[in-house]
Amino acid sequence: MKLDRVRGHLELLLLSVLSDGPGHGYALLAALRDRSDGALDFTEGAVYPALHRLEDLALIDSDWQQVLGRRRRVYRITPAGTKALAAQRSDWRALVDAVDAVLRPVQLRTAVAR
Amino acid sequence: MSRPSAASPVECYLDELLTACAGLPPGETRWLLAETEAHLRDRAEALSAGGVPDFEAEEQAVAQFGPVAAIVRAERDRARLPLLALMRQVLGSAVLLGSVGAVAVGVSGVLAAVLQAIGGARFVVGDPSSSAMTGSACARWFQGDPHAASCAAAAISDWSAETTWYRIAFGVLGALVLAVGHRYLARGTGRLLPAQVGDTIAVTLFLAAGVATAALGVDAIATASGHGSGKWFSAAPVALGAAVIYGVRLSRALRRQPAARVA
Repeated sequence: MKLDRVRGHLELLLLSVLSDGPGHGYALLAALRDRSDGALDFTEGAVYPALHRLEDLALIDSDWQQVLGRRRRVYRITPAGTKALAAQRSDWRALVDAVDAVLRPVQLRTAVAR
Repeated sequence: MSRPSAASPVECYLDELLTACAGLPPGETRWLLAETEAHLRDRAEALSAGGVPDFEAEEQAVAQFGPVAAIVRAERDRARLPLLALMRQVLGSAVLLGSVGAVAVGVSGVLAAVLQAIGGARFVVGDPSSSAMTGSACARWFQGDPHAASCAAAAISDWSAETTWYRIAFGVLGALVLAVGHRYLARGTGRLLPAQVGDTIAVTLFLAAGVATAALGVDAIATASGHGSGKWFSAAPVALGAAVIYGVRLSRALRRQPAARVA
């Protein structure tokens, strides 16, 4: 998949993964990869500035924890983040539906309209 | 604790990252380094567990993490204010400062009325030039003051009302905008330029206005026997007073900053 198209939505994807529970950067990246069956495979370092940006916006918060013998920053979604995720999900679905409607072959569109 | 191997790809990457982070806040640098190290070690361990030799596992972990420059640039961009937000701040501060300026004009109108009461209308508005006293202009001025002794007196009467009441009306408008604008702008964060930037601009503008109007007043004394100098002298103290208020506020804010370290 062309990752430059997805990169703009990295923050939405991270919020979505975090809505399932807290996690550190490496675990979140693994979850993104698993949930997309490997189709979404980002430059791993890009995840951290995105997480820090979300924290700047108070959509997530974090603290240092000792996990599996290593000190890690564990992130969790905030109530504001949950609200933002719901809004962004809705926007994304509206966009996908609109693009899909345009891309659909004309004959199929006519059939669907009937 | 053993000294890390200098040839280790992970160690080299962390060294490069530390060097590239120069200028970022120390806390953010430590945070980024700690997260990056944990990530790279996790990835290298996972690759090693899959049978990749240790050194190659570290090399692959570093390659998958991406170039240092891109990560540091993203961190720096995060700290940068978007252009739209900056424009919103400039607009918010301009509205607020403009409304304060309008209130100052209104106060100068009140002062002009006082000076007019003390020194007469001619002191505030000056003498009309002979070229300005055309028939139609005189007719218009006499409509405002039918009992005036001459066209020049009617003109002075008309202009003195403009100098005071127009200014006061402008001031009232400014006060309304200030009340509404301050209420909205003070409610949220990031709607105004940093206070010290706004205060610096205000001091500069009010000081310039104060000095310029005072100079014009002095010039009117020197060249027109003081006629019309009241127009400028009613504005100068208000502008200079506003400059002093903003200057004191700015000075207090600057002095609250931690003292710069002397090498």
